[in-house]
Order: sequence, then structure tokens, then C-alpha cells
Amino acid sequence: MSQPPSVQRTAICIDKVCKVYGPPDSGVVALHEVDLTIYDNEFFTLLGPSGCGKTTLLHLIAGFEDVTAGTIRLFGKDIVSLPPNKRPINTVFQHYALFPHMSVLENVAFGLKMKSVAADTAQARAQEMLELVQLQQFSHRMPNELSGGQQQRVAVARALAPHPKVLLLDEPLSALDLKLRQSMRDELKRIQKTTGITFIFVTHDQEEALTLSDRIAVIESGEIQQVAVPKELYEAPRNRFVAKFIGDVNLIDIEIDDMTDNGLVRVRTKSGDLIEAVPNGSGHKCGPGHVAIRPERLNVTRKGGDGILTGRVRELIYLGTDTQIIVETEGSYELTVRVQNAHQSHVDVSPGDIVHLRPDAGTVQLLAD
Amino acid sequence: MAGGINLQTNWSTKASNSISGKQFLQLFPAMAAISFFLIGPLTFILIYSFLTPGTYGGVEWQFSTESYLQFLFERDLITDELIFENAYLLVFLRSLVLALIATISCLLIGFPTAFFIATRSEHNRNMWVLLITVPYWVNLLIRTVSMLFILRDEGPINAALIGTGIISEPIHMAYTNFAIGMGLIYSYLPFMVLPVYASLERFDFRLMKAAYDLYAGRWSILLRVILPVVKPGLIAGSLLVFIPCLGAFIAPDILGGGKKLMIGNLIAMQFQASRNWPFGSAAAMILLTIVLIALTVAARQPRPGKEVA
Amino acid sequence: MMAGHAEKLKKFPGFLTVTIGCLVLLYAPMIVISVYSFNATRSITKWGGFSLGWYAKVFANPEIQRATVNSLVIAVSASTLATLLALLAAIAMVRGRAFRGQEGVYVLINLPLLVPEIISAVGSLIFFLAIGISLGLMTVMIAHTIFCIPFAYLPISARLQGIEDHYEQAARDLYANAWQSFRYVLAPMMLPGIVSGYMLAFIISLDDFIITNMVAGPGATTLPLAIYGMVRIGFTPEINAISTLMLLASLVVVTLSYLIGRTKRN
Repeated sequence: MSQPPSVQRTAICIDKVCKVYGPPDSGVVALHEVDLTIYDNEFFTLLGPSGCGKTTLLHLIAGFEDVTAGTIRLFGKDIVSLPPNKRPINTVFQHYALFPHMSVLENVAFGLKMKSVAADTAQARAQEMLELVQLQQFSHRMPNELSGGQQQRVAVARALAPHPKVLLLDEPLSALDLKLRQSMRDELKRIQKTTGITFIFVTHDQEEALTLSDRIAVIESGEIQQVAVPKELYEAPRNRFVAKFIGDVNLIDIEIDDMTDNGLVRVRTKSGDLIEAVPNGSGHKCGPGHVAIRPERLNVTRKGGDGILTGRVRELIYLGTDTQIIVETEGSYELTVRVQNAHQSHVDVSPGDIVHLRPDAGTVQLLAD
Repeated sequence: MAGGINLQTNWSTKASNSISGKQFLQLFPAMAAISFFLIGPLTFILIYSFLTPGTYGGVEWQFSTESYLQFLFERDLITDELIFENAYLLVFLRSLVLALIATISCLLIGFPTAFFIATRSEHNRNMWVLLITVPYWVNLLIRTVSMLFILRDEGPINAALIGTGIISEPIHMAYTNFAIGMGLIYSYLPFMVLPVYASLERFDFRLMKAAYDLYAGRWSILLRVILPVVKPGLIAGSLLVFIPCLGAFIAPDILGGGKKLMIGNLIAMQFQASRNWPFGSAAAMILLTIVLIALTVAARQPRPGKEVA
Repeated sequence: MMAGHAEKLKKFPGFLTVTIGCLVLLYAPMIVISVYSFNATRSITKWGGFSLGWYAKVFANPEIQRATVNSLVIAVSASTLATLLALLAAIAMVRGRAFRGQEGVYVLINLPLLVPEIISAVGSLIFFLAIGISLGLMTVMIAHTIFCIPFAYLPISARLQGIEDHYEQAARDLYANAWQSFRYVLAPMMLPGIVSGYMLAFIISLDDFIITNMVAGPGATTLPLAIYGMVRIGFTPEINAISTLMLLASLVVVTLSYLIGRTKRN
């Protein structure tokens, strides 16, 4: 499902990378053995809550920190022993880190100057980059004379100017307000398409990750939880962490009953309802487990029966476009159902009613843990 | 995200790393200079304080504790008996008392001033702080001389008092303990205001509202809420005033006219006119010990928790 | 209502008066001495008209001239050297990683501030004599350099702490080597701190009396020593004039250092 086309070249290959702060045997482990392959021309996102290790991984790729173990290859070449200034990788920093004593143009040309590119070529190239981010008229301003969004664009232009093979973006949108963030998203996507450079984007914002990325790696506690395209991540989360981290979800404790003929797994909820779930490919034994189902994938029906969950409506919450129904089941777990208000006729339930809920086919996902 | 970086800094504060070669090279010049030209002199003071004074200044390399005994006793020239003598003890006492009075006065003037500044608007605060800081950077000698200038019998204060007929004879203020005290306060007042202000600036004034809401009056808020929270600033300020006052040289020399000695003058005299280096060294060691005790006591004060956000 | 009461709550009766008293105490003596430096007569009670006569006398005084030159030579060399040492130390302390014994090094660097000046003074005197350096300009320079190190160190390290290491990371990321990253990014950003530290060191050296008094040999008389000598003999209006000049010099340098430290901080 997440297999890329075979023609894609590998840009970055991270192989069994560990990072421990302090003594290797007793220090703080920031990254356990991480394996990751990022393809050329990809918009790849590292997604996770703060402190999960995603920034550490980014710093290891950039070279600001040394790996404790493992290798990082850039187009096949091992780069772990190279200092940051010898890696053809550039970074857009979280707070931009624009040099305050240099003009916009000097900032953008800095990398080229350090690479000993002739001054006039560097100037021309810097101007070109400023045009790319639509700031050509600001080239002689100082960074503190620019708005947050403009500083952001300068940071992107500066990092792109030396033609890096990979661009790293460390939560570049987090310092912007909501409106600006949305327009910068489009801008980043456009720049990535125009330049064809591999982007590695770090964020804790799942919406940002889903809308921008070709593929996403979800990281938690220094380990990769799942790598997938956005759709798969949302619809087929591998484990409870991913399911909860991306979007709203109903997590249900179940017992695995047996396999069905069509490759699905039959599971039993605590209230005794039997439903069919999609296995996640890691092989299942009978016993306790969890399934995930998105609230909008549950439909209120009149009849009970096989493959149907049953419960009593506790609360209706009106959300504008949707109505959220909180249903209490006999198994003493709660289900959240989301019904679009355009289909108002389906929501003629009131608190206290017994309701039956039918999941859409193939949307109940059995989790690995 | 700063997650990774945080982990690292948390770790770093434990600092089990040994110094890197590059760091050592960068620190070496300053450390070597200070070690040689400051630790060296301090060591010599310690050694000299246990030697015998030379006839024409300098020292004889003969171990002796006489310099320390000399503070409390005088040796009878004929019987060689030790007789209690309080002249030097009085110098130490005067130093302690004057330093204490100066510190308390600075507290009494400094706290309200710092509080007043801390309650100004943010823009104005910087201006007030600058106003308090500037005098510190003016030559201490010049400031003391200007204090002498106004306190003199012929100075503007006496001139004004006589001129308006309030008094007919000038009040002798110069060359008294009062003048020294004024000089000390004047010299080190900024040292009190600034640290107290620094802790008041971080004080969350909403706490005052909270206390007010809980039926506390203005003065009990001051006593029970503000003072305990800014205590570290008060201690730092007191220390910054007390220590230099104790070792003051210029104020007692200029304003005391060399008649009212403090420890600083006593030490300096031994290396100039009196030429008793071991005794001067012993006096310096005692002063250093008092300073170290004051610093240690202050350092032992429990650090306050983080301010309530 | 509540806000009004709460604001009032911050106003303690008498605090304003004390603040004004504090400023009067700090400034009155200096202002009075400056005003009288322009008085044409020697009298305190009578204003004899505005005159620059005492200043003319000061400028014509060869001893003052010599002392001024000494003071400047010592201040320039001591503050330059102290700033260099402090800069190196600050980079190692702030930019290098934390190391065992770092607090000890911090105390050592600031030791000249902690030890009472009179002790540093007499200690330096016996130390120089014991190791056979004869007292003169050189001994004053050495002693001033040591004393100035913490004054230069504090603003430099404060400035350095205010610069996030992202800037150097960005420079390294953009292909600058360690030296280029210092030369083009860190050094220009630190400059206000360095200037500020240099100026404070300069003022401290220019103003120092206690240490200089002990370690200055013959021919190494500085301005404060000259003034002290004059005060010892008796109070003359010349003292007012030269005091005012030194006061002015301090004010100019400190204000400059304050402005430089502030305007570039953003």
C-alpha cells in the first residue's frame, strides 16, 4: 500500500540509527533503532508529539548532533561523519534563525558565499530565490523589518539557494498565526513541486502533515510507529498511538474470534457484539486486542444483528456541520458517532434511545497492540 | 520542536563531561592570569601573615603567630607578658558597625526605591534603572570627594544653614563617623537597589491582588507576601553592600580624615607608613575570612522555588 | 473598580519620597561639585560668576597632563587585554558544552570582584616585590587587567547567552566552517556585548584608585592618584574642575556603552 513506484530513487536512508544523550549505556535515549527510507522528490513528514525524537532525527540528518549508532546515507553515500557544512542538506529553522545583522539578500546569499560561489553569481541566484518566494522587492530590508510570514519565506529562500539535495524544515509554520499558516502551506507545497527537492518536514500538527505530505512517519518515544501515505495513516492506523494521534477515533477492546473467508477477522466486543475487522498484516492470534473505527464511519440503523454495535444514546452534541452522538454500550465503553447534518433525517434519536450502529464495510481496523 | 534539545540541556546540567581541549585552550589565558596574579598574591598574604616583620619593612622568614596575637594583645616590652589591648579590636568593631549601619540604611532607602521603580511602566523602568546605575560608574574617589565637599565646615550645607541664620557655627560633619557612614551609603546604594529591583521586577503583582482579595491590608501584603518572595534580592543586595563597606578604604580615608580607621585603612597603613607587612597580612586574612563567612552564609540560604506563574 | 483599587494597592505612602531622596543623595554631591567648578571665586557662599578658569588651570598643570597620559595608556592596554581574555573565556563557558568544575572556573573568573579590593591591592604589592617585578606602569597594567576581567566578562557572556545557538547552526548548515561561522555570524552579533564589556573595563581601569595606589611605582601616577594627592593637601576649586571632567568622561563612556548594548539588541 505504501510502496512507492519502483523508479523512485532513495534520497536518504536511515539505518538502525540510535541517539543517546549522555553515556551510551546509562544516558537518555532519544531514538531507538530507527530505520527510514525517504525517496527523491518526496515531501516527507516526521510527525509526533513534542519530545518524541523527531527534531533529534532532523538534527542527526543535518549533522548538528552525532549519531550514537547506525548510519545515514544520502544518495548512497554515508554522511554520519560529515560536519553540517559538508552536507548538501539545508535547514529551515523553527524560528528562522535569520542573521539579524545581514540584509535579506545577504542572508539568502550566505550559503553561496560560504561555498565560494562568485559574488555576482551568488547575487543573481539569491535574487532568483527571492523571486521564487515572491520577496524580490524586499532584498535590501533587514530581517527585523519583515513580518513573520516574510521572514519565513526568506528562511526558505536562504535554505534553497545553495541547491541542497534535501531540505529540512523544523516546524517552520509553528510561529505563524493560523491564517498565515494555511497560506504558507500552499506556498511550501508549490515550492517543493517547482524545485523538485526532497523536503523533510517536522511537525506535531497532524492536519498540516496530512495536507502537505506525500508520506508521513509517525514517531513516538523515539520509535517509528508507522510510515504511510496520509490516507492510509488515517484509514488504516497500525496501532493505538497512531489511531489516537491522527484524527478522532473510537478504540474498542475486543477479543479476536477467528478469521473469515474473505480475509477479515471476526472480533467480539465486551458487550458481545460480533464485528468484522481488517487485519493489519502483522498476523493475529486469538485473544484480546483493539480495533479502531472513525466516528464518521458509524451509521445509525434501526435493526440490530450481525456486524452491528448496540448501545444507548447518552448525549447529542451539535457541531455545526455535524452532530456528534455519544453512545454508551453494555460493555461500558463509549462510542462516538458523527453524522452530517445534511442527513438530518438519520439523527432523529434522543438521549436514552437504544441505537444500533453499523460500521461501513472495511473501516474497522484491527490494531497491532 | 525543542524536545531533543531539552533532553540534551537537562543532561548537560549534570555535567559529567570533562572539559574539552578547545575549551581548556580558550579558558587558559584568563584562568592562568587570575591564578597567577590574584591567587598568587592571596597566597603571599597568607604566608606573610605568619612571618616576622623586617626592621625596615618587608619580612623575616621566621614563623610567628605574633601578628594575629597583636590584634588583641600588646606585649609588655620588659616582662614580655601579653596585655589585653582593644585598639585594633575597636577598628574591627567600627568597621562592622559602620558596615551594618550602611547596609541597613541602604535597605531602608533601597527597597522603597526599587519597589517604586518596579511599579513604573515598562518603558519608564529602564530610565529609572539607568538613573540608579550611572552614579556607580562615576569614579568612587570623585564621588567621595564630592561628598566631602558638601559636608565640609565651609561646604554648601553649612554655608546654607549659616546663611539662613539657623545656626551660627558650622556643624562638624566632615571627618566623623557620620561622614564615613554617609560616604559608605552613597558609594554602595546602587548595589542595593539593583538586585532588589531585579527580584521585584519578576514579582507577580497579581499576588498582591490575590492577598488583597483574601482580606490582607497593604502593609501586611508587604510583610507577608512581597518581602518573603523578594528575600533573595534583599540578601544579595545586603551582601553587595556589606562586603565592600567592610573593606572600604576610600570613604574612611577621605571622609574620616585618616582619624577614624576602618579595616581597609588599617591594612593599607601596614604596607605604607607603618611597614608591618605581617600584621597587615594578618588583618587582610581576617577581613577575607569574615567576607568568606558572609558569602557562605548567604550561599547557604535556600534558593526559592520558581516564581508562581 | 477592582483594577483601580489594585493599582492603588501598589502605591505605598512615602515610597515616592524615599525614591526622590535616594536620587538626591546619589546626584546632589556630584551636581554641586560640578556647579562650583564653574564658580569664578574660591568662595562657597558667593557666586562669583561663570568661569572656566579652574579648567584652564587643570589643563595647564603638567602633573595632571602626565597623569592623564598614564591613565589612558594603562586603561587602553588593560581593558584591551582583559576584553580579549574575557571573550575567549566567555565563548568556552557559554558556547562549549557543560563540563565538570565549570562552577569553579566561573568563580575563578569572577574572583577579582569577590575579593575586597584592598586585599587584592596589598597582595599584588607584596607579590610583585617578592617575584622581583619593580613597581611602575607595568605592575599597574597587570593588576588592572586582572581586576577588569570580570567586568568585561559579564556583559560579553550575557550577550552570548542571549544569542540562540540556532544562528551558528544555521551558519554551519549553510556551509560555513567553524571560523567562518564565528567571523560572519557570532562575532558581529556579539559585538555590542564586546564593546560594552570593553568600555566597562576601560572605566574601571580609568577610575581605579585603591589597587593603583598600592602598585604604582614612581612615574606611574594616574589621574585618581593625582586627585588624591591634591585632596590630601587641601580642597581647591581645581579639584572640582578635574572631578567634573572625570565625571563627564565616565558618563559619556557609560551612556555610550548602554546605548550600544541596547540599540542592537533585537
